Amino acid sequence: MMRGAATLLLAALALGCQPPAPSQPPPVGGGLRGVLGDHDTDGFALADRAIDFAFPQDHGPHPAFRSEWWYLTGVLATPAGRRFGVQFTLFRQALRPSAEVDARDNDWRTGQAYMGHFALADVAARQHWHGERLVRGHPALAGVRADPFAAHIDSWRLESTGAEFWPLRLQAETGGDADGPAFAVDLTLTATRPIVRQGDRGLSRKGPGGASYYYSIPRIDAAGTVAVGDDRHRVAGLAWLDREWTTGVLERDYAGWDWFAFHLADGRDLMVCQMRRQDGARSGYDFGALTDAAGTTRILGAADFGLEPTGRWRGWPVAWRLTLNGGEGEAERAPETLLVQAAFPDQAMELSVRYWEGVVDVTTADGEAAGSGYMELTGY
Amino acid sequence: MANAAGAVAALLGRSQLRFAWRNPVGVGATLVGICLAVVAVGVVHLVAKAMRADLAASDANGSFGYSHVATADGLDEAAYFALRRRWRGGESALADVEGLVPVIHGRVRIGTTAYPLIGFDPLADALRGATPAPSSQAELGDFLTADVVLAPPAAVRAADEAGTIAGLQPRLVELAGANALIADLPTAQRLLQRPGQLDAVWLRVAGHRGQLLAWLNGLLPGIDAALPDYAAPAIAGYAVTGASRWQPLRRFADAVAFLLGTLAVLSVFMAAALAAQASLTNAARRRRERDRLLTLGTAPGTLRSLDVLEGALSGSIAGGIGLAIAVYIGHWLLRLGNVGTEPMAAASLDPWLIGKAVACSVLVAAAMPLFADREAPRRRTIALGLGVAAAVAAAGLWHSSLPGAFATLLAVALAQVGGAVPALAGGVQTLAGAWLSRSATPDLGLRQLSARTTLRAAAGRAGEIRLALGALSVAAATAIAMSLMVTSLRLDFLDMLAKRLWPGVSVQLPADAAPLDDTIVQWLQALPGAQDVRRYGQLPARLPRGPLQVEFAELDAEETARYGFSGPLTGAGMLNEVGARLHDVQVGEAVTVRSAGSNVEVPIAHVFRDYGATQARLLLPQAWRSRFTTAEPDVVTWRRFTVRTAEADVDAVAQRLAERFGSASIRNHKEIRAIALEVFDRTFIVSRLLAVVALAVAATGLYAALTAMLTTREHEFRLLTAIGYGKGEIWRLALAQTTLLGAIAGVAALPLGVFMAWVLCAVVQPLAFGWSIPLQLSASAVGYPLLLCVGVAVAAGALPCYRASAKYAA
Repeated sequence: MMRGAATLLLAALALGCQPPAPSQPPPVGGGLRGVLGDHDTDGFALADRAIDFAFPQDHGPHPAFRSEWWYLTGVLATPAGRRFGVQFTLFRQALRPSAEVDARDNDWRTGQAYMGHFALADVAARQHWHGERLVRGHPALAGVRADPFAAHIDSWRLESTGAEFWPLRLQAETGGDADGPAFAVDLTLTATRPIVRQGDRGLSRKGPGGASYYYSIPRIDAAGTVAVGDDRHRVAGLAWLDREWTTGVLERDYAGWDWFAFHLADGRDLMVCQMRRQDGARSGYDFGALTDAAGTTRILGAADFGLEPTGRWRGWPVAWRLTLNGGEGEAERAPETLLVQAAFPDQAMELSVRYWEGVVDVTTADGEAAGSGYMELTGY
Repeated sequence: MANAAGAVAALLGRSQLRFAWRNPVGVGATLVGICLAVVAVGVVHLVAKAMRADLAASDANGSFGYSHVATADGLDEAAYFALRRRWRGGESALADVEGLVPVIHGRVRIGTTAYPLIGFDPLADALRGATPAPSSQAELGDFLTADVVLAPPAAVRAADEAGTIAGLQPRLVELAGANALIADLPTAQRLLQRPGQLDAVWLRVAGHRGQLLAWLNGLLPGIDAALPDYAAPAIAGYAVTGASRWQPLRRFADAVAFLLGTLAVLSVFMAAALAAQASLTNAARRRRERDRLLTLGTAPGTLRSLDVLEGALSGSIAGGIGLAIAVYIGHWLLRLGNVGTEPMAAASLDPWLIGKAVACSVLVAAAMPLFADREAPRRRTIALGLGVAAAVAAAGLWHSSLPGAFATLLAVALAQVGGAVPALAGGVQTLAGAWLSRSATPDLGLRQLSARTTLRAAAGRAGEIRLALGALSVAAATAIAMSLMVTSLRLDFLDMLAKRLWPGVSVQLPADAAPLDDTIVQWLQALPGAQDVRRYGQLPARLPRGPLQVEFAELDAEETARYGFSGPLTGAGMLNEVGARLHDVQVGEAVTVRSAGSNVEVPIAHVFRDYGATQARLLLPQAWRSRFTTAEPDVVTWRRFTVRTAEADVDAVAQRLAERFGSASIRNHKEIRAIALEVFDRTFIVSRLLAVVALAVAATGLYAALTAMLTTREHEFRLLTAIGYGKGEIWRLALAQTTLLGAIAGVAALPLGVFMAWVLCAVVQPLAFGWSIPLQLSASAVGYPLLLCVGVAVAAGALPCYRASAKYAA
């Protein structure tokens, strides 16, 4: 999916270069329409047909496209069961089509800007901390390399530890300030399921005129440490990596989206996403993927699932009822209902762009624990 | 209980209204004094804010709201990235830094004009910083990916004609209001032909010290000048200074704003003394009435609360009126100064101004009654207070800072009110008593005896109005100090003008004129009447802690003598006093001058006075010019020259020059001198006015105090009337007593005034502006304020004395 604030990078750029007005968060909807909804795509490549992904090259950047992101989320726990949520995102935004960049072998003239978001949720303490970085593409500041894979923005890094893509290592930290303590993660990540190509062999349609290239690595073993202030914890758990690149995919009347990714207790991995129109209606281009324990993936369309908010916190719908319908050949199977509830409500990302991204718990309609994962809400 | 308090309030209120009705001028004077103080504080606050906003809006050479500038020898991109890693790595010295921006600056020639150019990375601190850049997304993309330069309109036009800039063809986008070219870092590096190099890293520093500084700036606009490096982080390997050091004009304006602000605080001091005096007098007048109420069971706390309420009410009225007048006068002054819309918008009511007005009026008027019913302090208390004041004054001087200097001035002013004036009044009383006793003879008549008794009583009553006298004394001391400082500065300024401006003509060619070449110089030398021709080349450069204007000239003995140095200079330079103080340079030391990518070591042979200069200026021998042109295009401008003539030939030479250089600024040195003096005198009008306002506030206080005091001397006047004193005699007697009180205040003001003048000349001026002023005592500078003080006392006493004589002699 077109994960979160990546789309708002340019909006932040434009806003950030004016005198700051911290009391006025940028309008999320406006940012979406202004950037991903920018239909002036001259000079950029378009995601308009299915292609065969090639790895490791496609783990790296695609500067011919305007926007791109590397999006990692994970739910981890200490040996004693104390749970933490981790989110690390790197967004790339082309400032101009590559052909129009007057590079002249100058490292400053990459024509790219990068934004990083890093958040840590302490479920037991019901605390959520987040940090943000925005810099231009420059070898010493931010960039992504495909082989061996390395993505960084300032001191935050997600990179292969050897010549192969896996395992990856995530290192990120923020200094403490009046708003919260210093926090950091150092995780080693190893995929345990193959890549899932979303949509039509990786071409994910978001509307009649827009699409992106989108793949996920849904189940990744993660282990390492998280630190809050002077407290360090050994943790382990499951993570999810999304990769997407595109050039303007939002329809003019879209307001935002609700995205969910779960590791279910029965071994399935589920992602669903609904695109909301400004009148609140579903777009008809909702999408998702369900991968079973054997690694078989079923691509979901709008007719395959339903989402209904059941609880709100400060305007954010932090509780949902998810109905999963049977697929082809499963017509006789009864719809499955899952209840999604934020692990704690206050996981809003109050940064230069405002959205909600945090740990959620999943239960069955009978109230039995069914898994956990991440939820992302935009446009509220 | 509530009813009882209400009844007491009504009783006291009626009594107070009755008193006000009978003595409208006396009561009104207190309100006028407070009102004047609020006006002074308010006008200075508004003008200072507007002045700073005006400079902020026009100063594109500055650092766009960044609080500090870090520089280092050999600063380049690698060093910047290393610093950034240290910052992101959590180095404690950088804990308060919230943003870093790499910067390069220099000058590029477009056509015949060299424009300042600033290059920086707009995305280095884009999330919360304030670096300027195109506002729309499309323009930002161009700015960051192509050679796009934001430029003043004149530069855009010049570039259209020139075609190329430094051999490149950047696209210039007009930016109204800019006075420099602004470009993305790599674009600027390319235009300056300095790839990989940087000149500074702008810092956005927050933390508690940064917040405190911002808070103080709201309270006292301009305090930046007093505390430029207060919140500077100590970063190993870097010189970090307050950004205001890099904006000389802004720093100068800050210094002016701060000094005016502190002078305005003096009016508040007067108002406080005035309110305290009014409370004292009021308490004395109502003692019988209050005793009766206490006997009837009214709680002392109730009476005190009612006094505070009454003070707050009168303070609110005075403060509100003062605030309205301040806004009106402030806007009138700004309109007179023809400032732009942004400064005018900045000169609006803000919470700081309202808070200051409330503090100056309501709080002062409400707090003073709390001290009114206390007995006069004992000698031991006074001695202790004087000791503390002396310690504060000494510590303030030792600290060698603007706030320290003003702490010193405040401490000595308080000591004057609390100790010196009462002590002097006591001494006069003792002396008068002794003299009257010694000169008494058995054959004194009844009239003489009565008059002597009255005179002695009057000296004794000086204690009753000690606060008003103290305030008058401090106001007089301030007037003496200002007068001495301005006179001293003027004398030295005249001396400087006499040395610099020998008979002749100065010419400044316009920016688009062809530079002076040898042909033109030869033509100038051949002019009939021309005795000597000198040309000057100017190069903007920088020292590690701020900008520097380098001026190349033929530094022969004649030229150096103009700056107070003997003999020619070939291997060293002369630095002005502003530069020497800002950069802490002594004669004999060397400075590293950075310009055009080159670092040049310059030994300093002499430091010269440079009144009026706002930034560092370095005079270098002409031959040194070649050392500064290593990388950047030659941006030394040769557009200023002087022609020395005999006095009689000046006009003829000026006429010939005007014919050849029509659009140039051609100034007769005599004319420059006259303009400089006019500007000088105009500059200090505000200071003099504020000193007069302080005297006026003190006079109203004295008037109110004398009015109240004379009403309590009814029996003395009635006795004099009974033994045959006429109305005129009583008036003269009362006026003589008032004159004596004025003289006491004046005598006490003399040493204080001289001390304050010394602090202003030796400490405040050098710290605020970089100019030291040798204090020169002159009888006229001291005598005029002293006469004014006595005159003010006589004027303040004339009407009350006349009314008293008319009332009791009738």
